[in-house]
Amino acid sequence: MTSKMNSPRKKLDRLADKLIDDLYETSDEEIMSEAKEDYADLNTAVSDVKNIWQFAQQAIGKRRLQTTKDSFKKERESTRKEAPSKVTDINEARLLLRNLINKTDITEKITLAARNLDDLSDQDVFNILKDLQELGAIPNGDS
Amino acid sequence: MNILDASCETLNPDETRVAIESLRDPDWLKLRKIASIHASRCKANWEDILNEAFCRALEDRRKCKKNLNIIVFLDGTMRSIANYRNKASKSDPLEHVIPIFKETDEGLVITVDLPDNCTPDNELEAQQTLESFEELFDGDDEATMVLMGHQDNLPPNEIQELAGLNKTQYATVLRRIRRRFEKLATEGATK
Repeated sequence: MTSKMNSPRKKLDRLADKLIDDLYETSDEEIMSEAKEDYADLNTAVSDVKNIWQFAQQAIGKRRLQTTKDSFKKERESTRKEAPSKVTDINEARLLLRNLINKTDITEKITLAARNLDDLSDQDVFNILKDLQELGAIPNGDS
Repeated sequence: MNILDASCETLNPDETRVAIESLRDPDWLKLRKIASIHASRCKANWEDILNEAFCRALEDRRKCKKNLNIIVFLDGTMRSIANYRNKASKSDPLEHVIPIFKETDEGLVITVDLPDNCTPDNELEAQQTLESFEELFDGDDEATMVLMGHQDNLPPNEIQELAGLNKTQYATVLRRIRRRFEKLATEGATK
């Protein structure tokens, strides 16, 4: 019976590790000299690797953008569900604004001064709601 | 050591990016060669293995210690990817579970011994890679001896003695083997 230490997989792993160790012991000059012999074109051999690096960066960038886009979409949909169709009553407006402020993702869009609702005039409350509608944080009541 | 010190010990993704960007031509080539060796361990393309390693580094899924050479870090990441791919081979590992029956005071207890990470299919694949590689050195006694010595985990001085090689000759043979291995790995993946 083949022991685990002598299995083909272990043998292959050990050999691979040893060969990689040898690479670390190879000087830069030798690596370049080997590459000239091993690859048809040295510049292409290097740029192949750099291209993989570029592709990886682009792939991660696209993935991040998509995640952000999805998160914005989710946030908009969530706000839309909770927003009233049209706000004309000041008490209702203050309540709506307070609910929005209490949401962590929305607070970032509102200035610190506006968090103290009691200090705001009725007109300020309507203005902030209007601004938020224009920013897309909540839907326009008329739509 | 406090928590803040510990958090400063690894590169963040931007620092990792800068470290990779600063690689020179011999470094890029070294990475390519390392990737092709790891790829041969799991029958993958060297490009895929390297791309995945870059992605893991950029996504912070794998963190590089600040005092670690970035090539060594990427080497370790590729090794991990190759190991993962071997573990996730197509065969169902449960098919290879070994039941162990044991009589106890409470009656017969059945436990299971999970085999090593690799399934028979995976072992067969490794065997085929080794064989195709050994074929390359058919008739080259020195290389065959060095090759077998490393597979069996013998120390270099013992391999040198058995193969009748001095240190320089041994290093030359090992390098010959490595270059052939890289070539096979690159060609194998395109088949």
